[in-house]
Amino acid sequence: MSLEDHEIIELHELLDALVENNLPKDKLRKLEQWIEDNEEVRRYYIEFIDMSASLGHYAEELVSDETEDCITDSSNNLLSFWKPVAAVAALLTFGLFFFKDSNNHFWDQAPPVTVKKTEQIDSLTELINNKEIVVDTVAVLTKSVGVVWADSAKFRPSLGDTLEPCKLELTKGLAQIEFLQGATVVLEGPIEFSINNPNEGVLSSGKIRAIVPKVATGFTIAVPHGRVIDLGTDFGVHVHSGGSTELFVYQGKVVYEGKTVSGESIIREVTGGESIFIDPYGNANWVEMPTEPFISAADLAFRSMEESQRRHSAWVDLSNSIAADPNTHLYFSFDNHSPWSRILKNESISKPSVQNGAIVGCKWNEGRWSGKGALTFKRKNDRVRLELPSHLKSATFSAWVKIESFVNTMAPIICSEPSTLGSICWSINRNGQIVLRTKTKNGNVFYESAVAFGREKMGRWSHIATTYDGELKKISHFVNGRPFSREKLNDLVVLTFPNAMLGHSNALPNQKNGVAFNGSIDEFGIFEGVYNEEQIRNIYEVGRPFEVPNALAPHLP
Amino acid sequence: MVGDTHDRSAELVQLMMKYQRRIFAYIHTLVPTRSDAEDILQEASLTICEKFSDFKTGTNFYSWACQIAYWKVRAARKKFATSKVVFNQEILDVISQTRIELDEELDHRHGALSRCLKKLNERDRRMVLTRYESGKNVTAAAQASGRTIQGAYKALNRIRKTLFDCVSFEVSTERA
Repeated sequence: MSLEDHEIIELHELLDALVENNLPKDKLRKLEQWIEDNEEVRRYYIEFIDMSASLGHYAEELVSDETEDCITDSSNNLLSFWKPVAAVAALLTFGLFFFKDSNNHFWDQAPPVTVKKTEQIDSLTELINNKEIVVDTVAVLTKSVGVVWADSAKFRPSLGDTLEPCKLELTKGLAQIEFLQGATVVLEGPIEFSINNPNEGVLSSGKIRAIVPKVATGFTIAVPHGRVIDLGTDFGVHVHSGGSTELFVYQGKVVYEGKTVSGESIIREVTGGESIFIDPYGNANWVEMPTEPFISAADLAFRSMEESQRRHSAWVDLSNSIAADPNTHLYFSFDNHSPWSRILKNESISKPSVQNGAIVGCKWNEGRWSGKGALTFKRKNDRVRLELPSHLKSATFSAWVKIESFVNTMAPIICSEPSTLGSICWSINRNGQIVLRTKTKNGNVFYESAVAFGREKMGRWSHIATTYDGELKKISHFVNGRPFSREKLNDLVVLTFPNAMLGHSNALPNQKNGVAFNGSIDEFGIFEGVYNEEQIRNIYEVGRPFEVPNALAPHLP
Repeated sequence: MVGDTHDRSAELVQLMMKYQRRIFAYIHTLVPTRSDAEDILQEASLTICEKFSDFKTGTNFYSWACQIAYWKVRAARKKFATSKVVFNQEILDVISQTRIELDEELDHRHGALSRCLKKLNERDRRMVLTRYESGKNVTAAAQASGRTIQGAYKALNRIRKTLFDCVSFEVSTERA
């Protein structure tokens, strides 16, 4: 007998608590009983715990790889030996001190047997004791305009990402970094800049402008022949490719400490309006003005606004192409409507048989950006009635939604009359899972994603999409342009949309009333066929609202 | 004679390296607390080493090692009597039996997990792998991903579910 959906959710919760050692005794007893009585539960348990063991394996493999990158060649074979920590501990217990070839992976291949000396074991122990990698958030990427990462850039954070000590390499564009200690730095590509800790960076080449509040006094930028130490100020530093450095102080005071190639110590106190030039040999000279201006945070904000307008234009272009696509059966852009309009225009050009929607109750509101419309569903009868005669073997559902809260059992996005074969209901349930319900000859089938909506997404615009692939028999759910989970399509039907409603569900046979959506929708489409990951990603990337995220807010998913 | 001993030692190390992950996974399904499972692996490894002269080359090393591990788990039940997580003997037996039946599939799932990890976004991947590094806990994972501890618990729950579903899907696709 197959587990019901709610049982799978419960089982997953129990196992999750079990691996975190958080499972109360009564629930452990329940799990034990369940494992003993039900073979499917037993299999699920084994697969889940086995995944936990595998995660440990991959985590250790990753740590070893990262650590190897940082260690000189002479230590390679010692570190490789350390890969599976527990296992090595066991092998050391054997008294068999075997080491592997530096190029082989511990788990994958049998190593040549070599006996090492005890001193090397001691150095191994020392190495292990010293190999603790301290990683912590030290800064946040808070703005970026036209950033192009260098080909050699190993790390390419997204807007809003928190940053651990890392190196940033841009060939062009602007990026604003906020250090946790309080300093703000605008990087201007091309640039190579490393973040060392919450109050220190290294400028290897390129231009930065630093705005340092009093709380971050002491903020330090290392440059080729020395370092610039802030004393509460606003300054710009430019390291040229030939190794010379320019420093200009806008206001306040900084100290430059350095050494010339001949070993002479240089200390210069530079105050507002002053500028120094440090030549490739480390000699510092006073100069009138830097050769090029530095981009300030205000300049960057202005450019961000321009970027926002450019992004809006890009969305309008995308929206027009979606409307013109022959696969588009229904498309609401929610744009260019009067605030009193009771008609929601279907913009799909190729499907004239599909009518405009009739707005019932919902109010017009502002959408993802200023000037764009959205419909807000708040009261229990708010909805948009649709006439959609389509029959689809495969389909893609796409929507931009802002959920205020889950006051009801679910947040329906589009639902059709539930008793007709092939009818659907696409919604987000109270657990935060995206659900596509289809009516088949064997009853209603629910295809649920993993939990996608937590409290952090409430009141924020999110893009969701679900593809129903009748050919490959699979359902895929996407959140903010990324594939979120996939399921096998068990009971194939042709999808139909009788008496469909946007933002409201019809009552199921065992229910008195339908359920209303509580939030806003500002773009919605149903497309024939299956959009691939790239197409869905494009809808998200082009359509995502331009906002400077809250510095340390979760960036999900 | 010295050469024989050397060959047997080499054989043991090769077999351990090949099967240790699977032996650990076997123990872990019987003892869900990872640190306890690691302790038992260590004890079992010692016994495997001591009794390796009984093992016949060419027979199934993994099964032989799992038998030793199973008895180690049984013996360790006393030690875990006060532990938060402990299964009774009947449960250990049924889990052990089912696990052996699933061995091949679990190997596929292990491979699929590697692919699914690549599908996670960088932040989630870093977080979940930090959590599973030896000696690291949820607090470390929270720090590595800039989340609160409560947020980290929720995120880990979500990530594990996503990975589990992804692995199941990958394996079912392989079969199809």
